[in-house]
Amino acid sequence: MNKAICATTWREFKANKVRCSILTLLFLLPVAFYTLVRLNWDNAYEVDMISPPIIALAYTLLWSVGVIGREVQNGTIGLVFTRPITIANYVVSKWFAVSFAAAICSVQAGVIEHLISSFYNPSLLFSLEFFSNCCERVFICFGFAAVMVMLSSLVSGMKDIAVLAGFALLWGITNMIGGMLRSDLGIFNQYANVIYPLAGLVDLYNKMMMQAFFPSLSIEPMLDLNFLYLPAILNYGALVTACLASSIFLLNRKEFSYAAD
Amino acid sequence: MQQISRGPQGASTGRDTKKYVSMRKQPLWLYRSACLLLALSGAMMIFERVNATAYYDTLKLLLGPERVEWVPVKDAAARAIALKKPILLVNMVRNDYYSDRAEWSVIRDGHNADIINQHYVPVRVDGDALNNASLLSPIINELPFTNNYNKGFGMLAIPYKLIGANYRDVMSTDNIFEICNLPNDQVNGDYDFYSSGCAADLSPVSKSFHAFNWSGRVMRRAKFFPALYWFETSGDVSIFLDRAYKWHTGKPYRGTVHWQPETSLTMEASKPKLLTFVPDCGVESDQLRNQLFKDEGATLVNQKFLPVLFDVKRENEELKINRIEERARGDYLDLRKTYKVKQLPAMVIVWPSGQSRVVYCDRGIYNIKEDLSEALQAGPLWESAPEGDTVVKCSHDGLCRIKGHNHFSR
Repeated sequence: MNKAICATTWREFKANKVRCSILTLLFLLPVAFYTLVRLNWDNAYEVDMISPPIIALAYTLLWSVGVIGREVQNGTIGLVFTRPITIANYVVSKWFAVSFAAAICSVQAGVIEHLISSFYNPSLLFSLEFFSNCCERVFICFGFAAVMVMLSSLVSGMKDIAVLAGFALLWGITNMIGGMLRSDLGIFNQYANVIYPLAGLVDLYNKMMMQAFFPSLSIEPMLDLNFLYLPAILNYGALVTACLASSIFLLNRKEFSYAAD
Repeated sequence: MQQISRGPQGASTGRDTKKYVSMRKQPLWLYRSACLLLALSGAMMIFERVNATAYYDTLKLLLGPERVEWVPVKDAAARAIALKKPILLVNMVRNDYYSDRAEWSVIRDGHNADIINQHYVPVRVDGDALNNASLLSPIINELPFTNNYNKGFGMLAIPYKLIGANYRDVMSTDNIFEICNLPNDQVNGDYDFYSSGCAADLSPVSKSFHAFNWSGRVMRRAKFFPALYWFETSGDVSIFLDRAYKWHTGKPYRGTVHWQPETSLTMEASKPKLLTFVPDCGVESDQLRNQLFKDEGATLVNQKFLPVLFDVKRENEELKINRIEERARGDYLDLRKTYKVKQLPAMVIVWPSGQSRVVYCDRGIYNIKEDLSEALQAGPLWESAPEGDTVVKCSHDGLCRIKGHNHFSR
């Protein structure tokens, strides 16, 4: 891993005012929302009001959109490789830079929300729920950043977000189809022998997509030393290594000119 | 430090290649790891999809033998009555977050398994409510976690004396107040109560009373006592098992009423006696104790009456054979016959003259204080005219004098 690449990635983000503004909003919006809830709900002080771990997806997306693609597009990647660095090192550094920064930001936001809740109800301060929420955020950041790095090395510029949106749309459609196939078939009941295995395949595909776009690991089962979650850990590891490996493989097949498109 | 050449595809630049690494050097170890993990992960996913039972059985090989000694549903009631232990009804459904955690680790945890085996008769339901035709059916079929639309993890402790009772009775027994009266530091506030009477005592220490997990993982009600619907750690389940057991083996709540010993029935007194016949468990018992045995109810009873409490052992047709001795000690049948008590809960006001009047909760338990005050004012009253007696005269408020008696009946 290369420290200079990490630092450059973070500096580049800092220089982008739009991203900084969105990041500030991401910090403030949940706090504002929970403040409103506290004002309007009597039992609000009894609950630890932290955003769900899925919020980490937003932070990761913000940090990782076009992380490699933009450098390919404006040609700076060619300049990066004038330094003594391998593509593998570059990809891993980029992945670590965005996932670490996203994890820090999302955990920090969680800590702020938790501290506000704890201020009103000090008994919540050392709750396991908060600890597991933060850990899940970190896992989501590192997992989803790997997916984004892979998409970013696939296309130039910020087209990775379009690819992501395309996959999300496809996932939505297949989810809908899966639901329809599992429901009452009506007049198509005679084709149930064909349709039900098809529904199984669609479910499998949806599960894989779910794992790819929401790579989360729960902490409590791990603390229980629960073997049932061994496949989940395996899936997570497979996703991260496969995404990084394909990203390195894809970049190795590219020629880096001074401007890609 | 490694020096890296910039030749395309790792082509030699004329320098010593041992010292230089190509920019395009492929990380073979990463490719191999990715392929291996993908293959393993894909194989497991397909294995689960094709034959789920074999998949879970294979994974269970890693866990070792089951530590909880499960009892079949059909045998559970008889065993619980024989051993006088509560039944622990456990519902676990595959692919449910808490069921999976419970089945694969929490219930297999040595400490929890020991508590379950020692204090309970454990029964697995597994979401299969309707097929279980047994004494537990009235309860199982009402359970929220075996409902088709809400299947998931659930644990319910059923006292042996409530076997055959309905779900409402199981969820509300008077012993709950014994738990509530524990010092705050002994009460882990993760419990929600069916009875409203307990909420006030627990709310200062309850972090999740009427609460749900705000992080969005679970949006169910927190926990009904004695049912457990979700947990964070294995320790939560241990606490639940411990509390549910203590609760079911505790004494019924007697409140702040100055109860007199049963021997005081024969003693003369200036105030009327109040003979209170209450079942020792069940929802009506809980509600009556909640209304009458504390606060204003207790003040009324202490001021106006000489109270005597009879904790009547719950009548249960299925249990009669097994509990003949116990019933003889605890059902007060002779006394109830003397005062013509037809149903429970009931209160008999016995005036110093020996005349009596039975007060039931006909207008609902929440009006019992008013009913008692009115009955005290109205004076002795027969519940019904004895067969063959003739009504002589009726007053404007519906009280009728019966031939041969000085009493009035409505």
